Amino acid sequence: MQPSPHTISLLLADARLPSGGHAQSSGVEPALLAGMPVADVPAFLRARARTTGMVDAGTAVLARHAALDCIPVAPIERAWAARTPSRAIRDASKDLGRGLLRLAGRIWPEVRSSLDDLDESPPRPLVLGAIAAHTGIDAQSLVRLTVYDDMACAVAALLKLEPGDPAHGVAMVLEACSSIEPHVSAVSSITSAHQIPAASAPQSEAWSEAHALTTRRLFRA
Amino acid sequence: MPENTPTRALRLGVAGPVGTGKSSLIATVCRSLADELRLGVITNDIYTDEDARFLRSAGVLEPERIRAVETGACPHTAIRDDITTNLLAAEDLERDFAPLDVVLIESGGDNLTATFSPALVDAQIFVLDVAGGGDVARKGGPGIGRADLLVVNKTDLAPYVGVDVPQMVADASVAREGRAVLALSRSDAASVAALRAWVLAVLDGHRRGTHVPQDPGPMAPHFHADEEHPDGGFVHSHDEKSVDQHQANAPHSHAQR
Repeated sequence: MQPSPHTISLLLADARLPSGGHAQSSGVEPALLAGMPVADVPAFLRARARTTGMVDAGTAVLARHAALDCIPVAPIERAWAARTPSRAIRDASKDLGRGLLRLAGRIWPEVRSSLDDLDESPPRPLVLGAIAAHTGIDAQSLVRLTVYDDMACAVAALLKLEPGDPAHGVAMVLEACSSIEPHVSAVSSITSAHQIPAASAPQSEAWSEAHALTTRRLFRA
Repeated sequence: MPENTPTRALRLGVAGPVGTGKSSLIATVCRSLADELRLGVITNDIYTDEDARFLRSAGVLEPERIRAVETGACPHTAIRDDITTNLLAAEDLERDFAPLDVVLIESGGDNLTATFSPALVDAQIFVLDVAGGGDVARKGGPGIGRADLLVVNKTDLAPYVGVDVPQMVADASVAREGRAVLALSRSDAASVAALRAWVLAVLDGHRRGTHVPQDPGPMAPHFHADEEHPDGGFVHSHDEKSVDQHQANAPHSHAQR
């Protein structure tokens, strides 16, 4: 018996999944270190979901198609990189992708073969897309999963960086995730790289670049 | 178990509470073995690279061979529940400086329950110090009870903090059911030589394939208060092999002493 695709989605969204996510803050630590007020975190999350979240979600959708159709993913990675101008953010995504692929390769060995035209550190959305293809996760669920995981990671980090009510953090995750609902249908139905949303977040990218050079930080990015 | 390839270094974890001298112990190991072994170090700080910088400034190893990983304020998670970041760092270090003999992985200072997953390290040292109090070794815990080596560090401070080192070592030996305990001071050459010999012996076992990583995870041997008992209670362990008054996994209460 195979686990249901829904169960796989739950597994991938679980913060306890041992793939290295606990050392990431989805850009929250860079923002707070740069002086962004804590009160702005909900707006920061909505902006991140709408920009880098949509880039990643669109990339994951295409990577899923590529794995299903057995076509190379390298052009998708290039399209993602072109839409992710900060090297620090690309590196963070590749760390996450490498950790996730390391785990996925143990559970679903075929995931690795779908990404074999990339190096050992594919960006996170490409690994998520390949896992989705091999475990039966549909494109809309994949879009929501890609955004949810990033938002949940941000709020888990926030609670370590700034004292706060954990229930408030949960509300923030739900608010940011629901803010992208109007776009889920469009992003989940793209079929070629030029359709990947190209919405960048220059201020957040600059904060991440500065963060990568600090010597006192709790999180990788 | 870590994927064991012939070229893979021995991965040696160093855990223990904050301030017990983990970085200093690693510096001591490097200083005494850097001439004959190819070493690398990974640090798990709370605040990134403080320990890495200490070790680099100690000048015991090329700075490039000392790397820091972030733990997201969870040093415990990074060495036990989600070891991904450390595994990737160890693999990168072994690839970039191949071949390495030993990779030392320093945990972020945590509490008495933090121990390494056997999927991350082949062997682990748990570090206590005399300044933390002579009774800590007796309190047990997975690291104290079952790490491959328990180090009682900073023995040179014992006279100043009123700790009886032989008694502390004896208590630790009881808590560990005879597993190795080493009283260490970096200014005591004989103790440093003993540490060096221990590392070399574990490395030899690793190379021969006779050393098996073990998980200190389960509770260490500990005392159960029992007023009905002639001794006021009994010591027991959760070791699978031990024959005991109750099943290792059965629920039971632990009276606080």
